[in-house]
Amino acid sequence: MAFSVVGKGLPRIDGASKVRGGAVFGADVKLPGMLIGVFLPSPHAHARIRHIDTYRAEGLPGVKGVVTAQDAPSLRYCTPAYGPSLCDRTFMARSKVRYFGEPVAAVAAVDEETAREALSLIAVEYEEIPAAFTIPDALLPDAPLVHEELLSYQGVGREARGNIYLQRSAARGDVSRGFTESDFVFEHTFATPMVHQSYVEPHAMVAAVDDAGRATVWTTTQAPFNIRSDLATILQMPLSQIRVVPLEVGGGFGGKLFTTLEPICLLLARKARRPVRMVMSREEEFLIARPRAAVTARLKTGVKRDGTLVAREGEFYFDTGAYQGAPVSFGVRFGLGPYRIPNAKADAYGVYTNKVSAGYFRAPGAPQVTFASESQMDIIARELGIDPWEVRWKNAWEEGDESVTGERMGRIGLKKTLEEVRRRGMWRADREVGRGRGLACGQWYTGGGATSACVTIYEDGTVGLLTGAIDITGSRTGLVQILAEELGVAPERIVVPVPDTDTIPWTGETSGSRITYGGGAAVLQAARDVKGQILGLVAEKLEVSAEDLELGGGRVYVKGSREKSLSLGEVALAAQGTKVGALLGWGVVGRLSPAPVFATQVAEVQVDAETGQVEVLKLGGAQDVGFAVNPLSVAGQMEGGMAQGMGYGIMEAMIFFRGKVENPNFADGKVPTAADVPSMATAIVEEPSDGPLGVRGVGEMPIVPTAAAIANAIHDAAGVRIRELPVTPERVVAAVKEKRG
Amino acid sequence: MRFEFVQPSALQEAMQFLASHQDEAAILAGGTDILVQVKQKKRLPKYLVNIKGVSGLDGITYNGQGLRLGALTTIRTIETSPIIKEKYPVLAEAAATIGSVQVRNRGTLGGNLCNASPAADMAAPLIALGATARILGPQGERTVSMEEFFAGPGKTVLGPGEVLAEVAVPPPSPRSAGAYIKLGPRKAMDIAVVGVAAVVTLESQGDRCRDVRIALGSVAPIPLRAKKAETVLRGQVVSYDLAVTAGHKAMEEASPITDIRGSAEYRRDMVGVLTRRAVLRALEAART
Repeated sequence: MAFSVVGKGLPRIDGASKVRGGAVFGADVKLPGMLIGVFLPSPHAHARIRHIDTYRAEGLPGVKGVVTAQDAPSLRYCTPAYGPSLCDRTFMARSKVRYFGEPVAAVAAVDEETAREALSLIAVEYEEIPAAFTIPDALLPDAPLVHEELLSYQGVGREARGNIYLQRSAARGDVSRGFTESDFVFEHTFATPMVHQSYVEPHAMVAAVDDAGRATVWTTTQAPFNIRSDLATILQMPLSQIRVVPLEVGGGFGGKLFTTLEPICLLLARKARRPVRMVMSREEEFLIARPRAAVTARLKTGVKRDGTLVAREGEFYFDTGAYQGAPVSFGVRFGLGPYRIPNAKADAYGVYTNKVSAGYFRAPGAPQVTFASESQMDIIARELGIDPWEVRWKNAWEEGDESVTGERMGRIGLKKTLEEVRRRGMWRADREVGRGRGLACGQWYTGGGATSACVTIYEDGTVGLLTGAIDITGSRTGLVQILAEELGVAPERIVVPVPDTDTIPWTGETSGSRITYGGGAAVLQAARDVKGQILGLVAEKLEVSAEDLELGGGRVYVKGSREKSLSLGEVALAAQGTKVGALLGWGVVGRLSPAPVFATQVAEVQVDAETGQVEVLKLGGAQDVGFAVNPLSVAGQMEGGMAQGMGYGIMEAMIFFRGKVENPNFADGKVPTAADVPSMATAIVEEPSDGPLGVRGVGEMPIVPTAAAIANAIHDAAGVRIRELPVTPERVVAAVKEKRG
Repeated sequence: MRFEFVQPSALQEAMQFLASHQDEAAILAGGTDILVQVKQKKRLPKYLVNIKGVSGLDGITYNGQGLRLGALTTIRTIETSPIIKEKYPVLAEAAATIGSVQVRNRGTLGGNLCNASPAADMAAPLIALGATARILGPQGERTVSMEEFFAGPGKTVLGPGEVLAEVAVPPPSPRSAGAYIKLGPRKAMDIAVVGVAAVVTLESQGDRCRDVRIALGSVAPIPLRAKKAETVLRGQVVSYDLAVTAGHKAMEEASPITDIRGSAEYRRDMVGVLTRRAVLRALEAART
């Protein structure tokens, strides 16, 4: 099928306004009489709250409202969309604090300085209690309990015990027999740290309540409808009394899926009877936002002499911090790797500790467990003397293979991505001294959440697209391309305002790389709906059959006769005088079945064995994207994912001391700068899915294998195997020293 | 944060104000350190004294007596100055490792030194070059060698009302060259985990080392001159092994601490590696 708009690398339609500063972000919203809200963070990782005295703060001139947990109903909530539905969370600490920084009280005042001064006047009486800071601490038989009342929480599972709130397991075959039948069995433990998404724009929001008590919250979010339902639950308000207005997102990566300060902001606005703005400082981002969970993984793998996998068993401990939210089930789903394993078993555990509550970060769970699984695949290859590429090739999933969770593969592109890295010379044998190359495969999926879209044709022939799908990656450009293709209009003739929860029906959050997939399906449906109306109307007008018409160049033609045509504007105008009225197409798609996604990446590094410094020289990735609606955006996502994966591989980590983040800033919370990012090559593989145009999700996949590829390259270069991320210079030097004895 | 902004137009005025508000006033030059510290409430000065409008503290001059750098000279100016790149390339090399271009365009030499971070990237090369600080104060003028300028983390020898006016660097000896090696996780926007500067001067003929000066950053409460390491090399034909020995001596002289940027053990090890590398690199450059 020949396309004229999709498949082309159009520049992002939102690019210019973002570069010029015109785009409106959370902190840009300013309302008359607006106050500034700030919260009081807990100075302890684990303590009972004996008493909170806000009297002096309330009396400070300029202070318009002070709130604590007492200002809202006492209840625990969870966001069902993110499962499991274990309601362990309060919007603010009530009877005890479970992590350093947890909001305990909040103030709205005429300016930030007054508000912060008021915070210092709030007297909180704490009683510190023993804490569990790490997974081993939390798993001790007599460990302090982060949630003493866990077993009484709504939605708690039968497996909950101590600080383990969740267990997910899957198995096939018989692993113990599998290990017996193996020629070699390998067993290793790997560890990954908590890391923050490090988006440029911090959480920012404004809340206002009108005379009738109806609330509006402007916020930077990937999930306006989930914020609406969380607010309704937490504040016990009718859903219809809350409007959430999503703004442009200055980087999300999963970190903006969650309700953070919105309930506090709205409570302050309600109490002060004035609009309130809250913007997190960078430090607050590190204290209370929702970073990637730390994972400890134990992997045991049995192989035949020729590298064929016989059995694999994985145990994955997710450190969720103080409240549930770590992507535990993904540990089971992705932890054993995209390989044919006749005997497999995976168990993942969610563990509470007294640290900030973890959440989702680009392909939640997968980079952690893939670091473990792909590091071990590399160890196996090298121990057996087989090329690391060959070991993957031999075991890689093909159509018909089944995962440990019972997912049966349809047409998939994993082996094509392996072929591609070799064909393009990313993976090759030759190398210079001190340099090394590492390979890793990875898998992810395309989520299928529901999406609503609406297309209308204006009288001037321009096209309006409304969708509830929040754009965090440039996805609206791809959706516009799909719509432009279907309606035969130029992409510049399409406008895409961002609707709010009042103006578009329910749409699932932007997660799981799903927007071009589920959102694309909704847009296509809406486009076809309106197209049918256009064709029907024109057929009537021109007295021809609708089948004889075609759309192109913003006009409707009679096939074969270019003279007989109407512009879309003329059609829209004509519609107004008929029983059609307005041209309006709807597309509402429900949950689509997830489409698997695969990638293979190669890292090339240079290691200074004396200082331990690793320079990543090149990153190359091949990824199955199903169909590239916008190859430029796809390449951009792949490069961005690899750059972020590189940070995860060699420098990023939230460093904790007794539960307190020690590096809550960008001076010591290292992320790569532009100067650190190497040259990157991207190869797009297109093995169509069952989704619209055959697309598969793109955005999350590329971060999954990068850290493992880099760690494998470091081993290739320096002969040391670092099993804990990040691979810092200090860890390399320590390993080199140990190896030399 | 609330402070009063004071803008003296003359140096005398600035010094008088500083002298009479000694514990309450802080100098604002580029602001790349002090403003961050104020925002983070690590320092809460009542007065910020902006000296950018004060004349006579800016500019680079070079003549037979050597190089004079006004305290307000920006890091970017040092990085890009043709005369510095020609006569003291180690200074331009060190300047280029600081922050980003934007930070270097704001940050000043005086600020980098008076902030007195043990990691200050300009300190080690200036110590290695034998630079001196010209200090002006209510009691007049005094000169202090760069290695004696620092008193502890965040502390200098500047007394009440005193201002660092200028840094003077002696003229480069024939057959001398320097090197600065900074270790950090990133290629930009980083604070040195360890930094080592070495300046080597060869005899007019041959390979013997007439003089050498080595300075270490981030491994002691102050930027530290590694005198014992220098003694190993001075008057010798420096071989690889001798450079290794000097590195070991420097490791003994360092007193690093463990913090989130690195452990004491790693830092000490790196002093050895970087001292050897800096000496050998400077030596190589001095030969050519």
